[in-house]
Amino acid sequence: MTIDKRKLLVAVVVVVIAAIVAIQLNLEPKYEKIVHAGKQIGDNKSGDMMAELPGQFIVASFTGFKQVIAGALWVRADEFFHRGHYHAIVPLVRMVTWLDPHNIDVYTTGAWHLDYNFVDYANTLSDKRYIPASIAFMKEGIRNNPNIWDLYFELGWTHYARKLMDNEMAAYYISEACKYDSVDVNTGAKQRRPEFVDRMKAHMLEKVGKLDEANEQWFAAHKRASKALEDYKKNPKAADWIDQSTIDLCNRNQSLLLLRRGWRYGDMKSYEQGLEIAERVKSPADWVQATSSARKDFESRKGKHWEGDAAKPVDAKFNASWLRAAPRVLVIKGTVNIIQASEYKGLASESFTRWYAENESAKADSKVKWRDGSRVYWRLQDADYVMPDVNKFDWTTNLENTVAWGDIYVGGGSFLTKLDMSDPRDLGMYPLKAEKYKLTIWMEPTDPGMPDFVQDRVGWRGEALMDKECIDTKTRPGYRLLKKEFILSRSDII
Amino acid sequence: MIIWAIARTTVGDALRKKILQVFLVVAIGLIVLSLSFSQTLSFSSQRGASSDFMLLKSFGLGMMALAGIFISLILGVTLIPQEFERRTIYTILAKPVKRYEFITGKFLGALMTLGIATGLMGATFIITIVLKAIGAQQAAASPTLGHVLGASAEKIALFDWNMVWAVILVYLQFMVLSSIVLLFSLIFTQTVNFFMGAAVYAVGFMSTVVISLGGAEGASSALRFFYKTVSYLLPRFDQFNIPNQLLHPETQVTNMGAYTGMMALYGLLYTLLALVVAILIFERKEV
Amino acid sequence: MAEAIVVEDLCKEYRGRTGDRVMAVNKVSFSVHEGEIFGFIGPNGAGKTTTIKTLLGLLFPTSGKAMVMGKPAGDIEAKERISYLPESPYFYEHMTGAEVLDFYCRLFKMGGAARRKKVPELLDRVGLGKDGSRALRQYSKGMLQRVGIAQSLINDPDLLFFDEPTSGLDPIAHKDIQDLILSLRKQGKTVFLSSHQLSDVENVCNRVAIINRGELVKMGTMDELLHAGRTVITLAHLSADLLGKVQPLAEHVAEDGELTKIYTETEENVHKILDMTRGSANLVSVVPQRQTLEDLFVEIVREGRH
Ligand SMILES: Nc1ncnc2c1ncn2[C@@H]1O[C@H](COP(=O)(O)OP(=O)(O)OP(=O)(O)O)[C@@H](O)[C@H]1O
Ligand SMILES: [Mg+2]
Repeated sequence: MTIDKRKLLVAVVVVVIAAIVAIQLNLEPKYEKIVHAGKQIGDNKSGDMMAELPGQFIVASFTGFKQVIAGALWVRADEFFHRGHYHAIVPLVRMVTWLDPHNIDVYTTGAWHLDYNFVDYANTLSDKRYIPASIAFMKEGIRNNPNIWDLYFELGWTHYARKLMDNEMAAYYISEACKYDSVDVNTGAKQRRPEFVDRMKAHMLEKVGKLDEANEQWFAAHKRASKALEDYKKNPKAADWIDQSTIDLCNRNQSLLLLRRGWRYGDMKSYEQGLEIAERVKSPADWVQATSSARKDFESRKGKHWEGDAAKPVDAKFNASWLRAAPRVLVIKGTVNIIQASEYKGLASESFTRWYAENESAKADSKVKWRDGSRVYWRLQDADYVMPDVNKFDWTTNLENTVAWGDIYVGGGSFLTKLDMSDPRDLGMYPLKAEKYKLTIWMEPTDPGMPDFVQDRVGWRGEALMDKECIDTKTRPGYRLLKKEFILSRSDII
Repeated sequence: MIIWAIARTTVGDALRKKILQVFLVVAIGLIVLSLSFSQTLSFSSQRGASSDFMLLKSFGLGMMALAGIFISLILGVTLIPQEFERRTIYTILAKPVKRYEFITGKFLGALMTLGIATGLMGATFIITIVLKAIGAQQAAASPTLGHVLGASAEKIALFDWNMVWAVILVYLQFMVLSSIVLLFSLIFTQTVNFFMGAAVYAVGFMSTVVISLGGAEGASSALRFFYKTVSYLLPRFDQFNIPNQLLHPETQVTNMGAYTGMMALYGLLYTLLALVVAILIFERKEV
Repeated sequence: MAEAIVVEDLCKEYRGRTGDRVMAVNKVSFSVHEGEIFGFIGPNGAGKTTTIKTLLGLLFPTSGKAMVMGKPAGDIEAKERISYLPESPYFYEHMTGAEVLDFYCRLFKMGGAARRKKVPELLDRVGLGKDGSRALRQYSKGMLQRVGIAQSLINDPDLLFFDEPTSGLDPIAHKDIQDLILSLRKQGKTVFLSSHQLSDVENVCNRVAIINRGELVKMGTMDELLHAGRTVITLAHLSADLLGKVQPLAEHVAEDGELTKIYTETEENVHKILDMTRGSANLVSVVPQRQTLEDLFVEIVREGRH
């Protein structure tokens, strides 16, 4: 080979290396997008699934049978769930997702078990100490699968809304879910996110009183559904099934938001907009009827000064107390003046719901004095317990702690529940090792379990709520809630 | 023509290696067997037919990768040194054969052999999955059985393109690995080369670790730059190894076909690099 | 006469992994004329194979010049016209004799039709006509050697390098190869024949070079090397006086009791000595002594050891 040819080949080597580096630069983001390995969200220590895992599992990942091992471990984890070996589950499930990070089922089922299914014998309350693990686990799932809506929604709805009763965080995660579609498992084609995700976002925003944003979202959901319907009509085979009812659903819900805004805060412009949208929906018959009734109410108030139903204060007369019924058995009880039937008299929302009118006209024995169905929450925990930060979670769950909470149905203006921590099988869940405990009993209009009619009376943020001693405006700035706190010593309980 | 003749002969020679045949037969046998034992392991009680499938696919891909890596190493390590050992190279190079033709023929022969091996395993693998899918569909269609199995709710596709991409990606990494080992075989002895090849695979596989070493706290910027550069030059075997992602296409919003295409280009360039360097070395090598 | 091979001051040094150096070929110069059968002989490790590999471009000379068919060693064009039969050749075992020859034909870019004609022809020529479809795995050493010869004849080369073609073969095979070389000589081919089987070389070569420890020690036509005939004149009862007169003409004189053996190099001296001693001593015999290559070889190798 001549010197010239050698030089040429050396030049080829240089060019090829440059091309490799160029392609690698191009590939890296694509690969990252697929794998998301090592990507950290903020200071998310919990994201590092590999940390603290035994080294032999790294070897396992080399064998190429990751999913097989993961499948076997997952079956084992499932056995543990059924046998109640809860502590063994967290590391096991983490290994499963480390080996098989894209198995959505493992995250949803695993986190659901952690949140819901470690249940005590006496009260069927779940073990709240595992909630941080559950949330961190879901966040890990999101970190590994950020391009589909599923896990965002799951975290927002199943965990924040349903379990932690935190509508604000739920609204955040469900909003995130609305940024993504998903992919069909079989064809690999892009698949539309179901319509309910978008509607749930609007509902959540409304629940926490972010009214403008909620209204925007109804527009967006409406637009999206209309487009889907158009596509479906054009090509029913290729598109997902959808019909007019989905669009009606958006319209009804959006009009309700606007109507409520009118009723609760005297916002006549919203009221009118709400009516306009409501009148577009021609079924069912009772909807059309309620709409025309609301139209009459609107006309009667037009031009008059009116501040809305929530402007009229309600004295909640919140009273809560506890007593020890037996060693390790607490009774929590109280009364709350939410909400007497008479409170609904003359409310603007009545024109639409007609609940008060119907109650009044009912027979004497079926007439009620209280509108039941609202909820009070209690929470008992070590006085110094702070829920671990899920963003810096180190995957250890301190089982020395005692944390429990639950809700109580409010009927006839009073509530009562028993927390039984005496069953010997439940001693692990209620170790009661701390000296001091904090018992909090509270009620808030924005919570996910609260029926809409409570907000009809007191406003989204509890604007109408009054109480001599129990009003709390600090826990959730901008919101008014009723709250009472007690510090108990160990001997008070045992 | 000459290159083709050498490549063909190399394939014939390579395919007759006992150890290669053993790996191939065992891998193919296990892939076929996995059809039955994914049923006996039955995770389906809780997770449905699709997880059964995932297991089958995962096992098949793992088996192919494992067998293929050994085959690549064995081929890369032995093909050229054996020409010296058996002195076949003397008669070949005494003919009007240019040295680059010989090396290119050997590379091509190795890649073709790997292609045949991967093709056999891949075809078995995909046929196994399709057979299983047909079975699942029939079970779902049968009113009684479908009900018992609870499979009716899940729609199983007969053919999954992602598995084709997976087989191609598996092949591409064999291609890169064996090219590097072929290149090394001009420099190192066979045993050294075998372990070097395995090490290159491991390091390339763990490139992300190398990169994160560069990002480690306390690393100087020069060190960081060094690791970054190394990570760009290393053959990124991790990028070929995305069975997990291919098994869960529902979690990706990426065109796997396009990605596979990019990786093919990457793999071909790497192979070309190894080949050109090998030609440069072989040109000056005494035989 | 054109030169098929020209080697000037060729040196080839091997460097071991540990850094030790072996001068396998040291300042060797020779040339081989076209149409000549050139014997290249030397003991084991003399540097024969090294020289051949250098001439084929398989090894690169450390210094000096090596030209083959008028081109530098290793030139592709030259390779079209030459061929090489290595020491105990070995081929891809999985192939049949016909397949391996077909493969080598392809290396000469021969077309399908030409190959189909050539391969059976070659097999017949080396006596493997019936064994062409058997796998090489089943071939004996001699059969493999025949395949080696067949592959060296594919391109009807002008120059053939045979490296110890007869080593380990039975006498019949041995004879076949000698016949082949003789027929090549008749066709006017040039053969570079390396061997330590001296008998082969003796019978077929025009010229011989003897190499020992990397150095060329003797080279010439067979006649030059062997006929440089000494004659031994054996006399009885030679007087000391006469012995004194004869001695300058003799190369070497040996006394053995009554007999005196006088070795001389030229014919002229033989006559002179016979004239001088006629009548004064009893002439026992006059024997022209043609040395065998064997003797020469042993002599040279022995000398080298001193
Ligand atoms: N690859 C090598 N590395 C180092 N030394 C070598 C190598 N090949 C040959 N030699 C040495 O060079 C010298 C010449 O070897 P060569 O093979 O040319 O001898 P030869 O004349 O062909 O001998 P034989 O009759 O045994 O074939 C020997 O001393 C041998 O040990
Ligand atoms: Mg030799």
